[in-house]
Amino acid sequence: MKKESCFIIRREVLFDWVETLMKEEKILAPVETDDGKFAFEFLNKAEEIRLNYDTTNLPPTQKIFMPQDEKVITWKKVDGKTVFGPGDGPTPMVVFGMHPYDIHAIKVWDDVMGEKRNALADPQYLAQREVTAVIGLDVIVPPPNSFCESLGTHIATENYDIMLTDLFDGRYFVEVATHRGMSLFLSVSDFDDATPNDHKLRRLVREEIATRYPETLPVPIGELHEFLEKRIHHPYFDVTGELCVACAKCTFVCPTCTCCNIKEEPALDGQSGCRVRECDSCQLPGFTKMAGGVIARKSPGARVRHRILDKFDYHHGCAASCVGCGRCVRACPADIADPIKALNLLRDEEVPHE
Amino acid sequence: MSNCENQYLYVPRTARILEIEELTDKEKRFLLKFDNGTEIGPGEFVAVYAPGIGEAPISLCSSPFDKETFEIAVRRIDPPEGRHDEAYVQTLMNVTTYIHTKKVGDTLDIRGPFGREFPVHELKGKNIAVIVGGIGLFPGVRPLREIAKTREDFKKVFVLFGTRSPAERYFPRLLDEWTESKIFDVREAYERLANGEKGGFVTGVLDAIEGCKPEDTAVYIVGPSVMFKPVMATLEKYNLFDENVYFSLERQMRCCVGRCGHCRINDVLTCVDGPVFSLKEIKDRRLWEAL
Repeated sequence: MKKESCFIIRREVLFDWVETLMKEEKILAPVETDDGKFAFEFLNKAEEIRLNYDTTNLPPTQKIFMPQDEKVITWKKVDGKTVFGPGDGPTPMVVFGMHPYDIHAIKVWDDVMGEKRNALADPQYLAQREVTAVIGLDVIVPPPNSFCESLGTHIATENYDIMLTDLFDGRYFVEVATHRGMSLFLSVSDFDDATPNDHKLRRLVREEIATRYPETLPVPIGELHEFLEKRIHHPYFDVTGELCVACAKCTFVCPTCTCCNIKEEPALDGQSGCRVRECDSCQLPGFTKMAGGVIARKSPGARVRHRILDKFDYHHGCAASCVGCGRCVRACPADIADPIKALNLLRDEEVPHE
Repeated sequence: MSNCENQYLYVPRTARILEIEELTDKEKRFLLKFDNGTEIGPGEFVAVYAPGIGEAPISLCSSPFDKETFEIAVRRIDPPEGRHDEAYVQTLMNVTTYIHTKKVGDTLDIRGPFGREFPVHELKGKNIAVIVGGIGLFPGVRPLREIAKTREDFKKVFVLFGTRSPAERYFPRLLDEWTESKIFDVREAYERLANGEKGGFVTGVLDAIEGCKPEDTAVYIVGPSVMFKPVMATLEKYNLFDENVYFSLERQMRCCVGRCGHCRINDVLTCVDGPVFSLKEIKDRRLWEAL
């Protein structure tokens, strides 16, 4: 990080800046919902932004990269022949106020759909990634049940254009990381260069917030793989599977869950239609149902295990694909989704009982 | 979608039906050729798209040698019995019934091929046993038709085929041809014989490979997942090498390009990394969900 690309802006200027950006760009930012929670929505006016939000119910990643019912391709019949057309194009946007754990989630999306897949990279994902600018915001209030610090996801190191940090004195520290970020920052009316003292202040703020995450991963991140390999037949999975109501909420709220279904949506005239992508979940029993009715992950325990292993054992280009946001913990109606609780129970040799 | 070079991932190519063969009353074989003259690349299966209905992955059954044309064989899955009026059947149309309505000269919209196939070329000089259960014969004949063209490159070749009844031999012409010409050692097992008596399973004909040395014998097991365990148990006594035992694993596939996550086996994607895996890969990559 070069010192000259770090600045300081005042809080009032920050809102003016957003107002200016809104003239040119669509801004996706955390706003307060009617029930007092938070959600990423496209802004109508800058005051709607809640910079002190703890977390949103739904992650911004799905909203950006997998909009519900996104058209993959379209078709229409012309003289009896099927002619295919393109699907939905990308929506240029600036994501404002994305927390570091959600920024870490982008890395998993890149691994599953991005350029690393070479010829199989998802074209719509790449296009959307291209036109999405990320203005990150360091966490002020760690989300309930979160454990980002022990996963190293409390500080973002890549995949953002600008990172903002509240210095708790009415000023924000602005780190501009990319050219795109610089061009966005140019519309700020009033700013100062960050002094060495400001850098120190940011470090202190980050260190202080890091201690406030309520949970800690019970297994060191480097040992997760070996830890879970030894426990794939642990009774925890089946016992927990019995309690699972297969509502799939834990996956729908997960910022790193990328699974989807592609389904057909014909128009009523039968002469045109499209293929649309929608969220899907490995926690639904029919997810692995094959022709002939055989289900690959038939037992609920196998599905519970798949989720835990997918987040902590299978590598999506990161040490763990869980980012520790704790959304699944709060979403689960059966109170069994908590990864911390799962790893704690797995650590015990005995069959866990309630 | 302007700067997307690989947009073709989801866009089918039009293929014309050159020939249709009725294999049984429920299965048909289609010979196809892409309208724009493009070649068919390597791969194990294609995704056949039925506009307005959906898409299904279908195994290729032509030899990988053929680049101009390709073949698929499709079992028709009928709507539930009880009502047969046309309107009702229309609404319940699935991809297989859609394909079966097609005539010679009609077109199908096809993506692919996708997936990694049985590596016949790496196994030259070996005995090959293709162990097939039921409808697994469709993908099963793909390497066999290729071996038939370069037969001298291989030692003994076995076709060990288990199916429900003699009426369900799916490729009777090919099987008879291979049996008569003795090009392959074909053994068949029927669960129910023509006269209605109880027959045997494919595990009963595996002793054909008795006497083949493990170091130069490869087997390819393709069929419903229920047959994997009994076949493996029966093969145990021949001490085959893990790297020479291949499985064609089936999973639900929605996108066929490694994107949707439905076909995951542990951390691999069946549509991209498979569907053919050697036992060594299954063990090395710890795919304990596979079998």
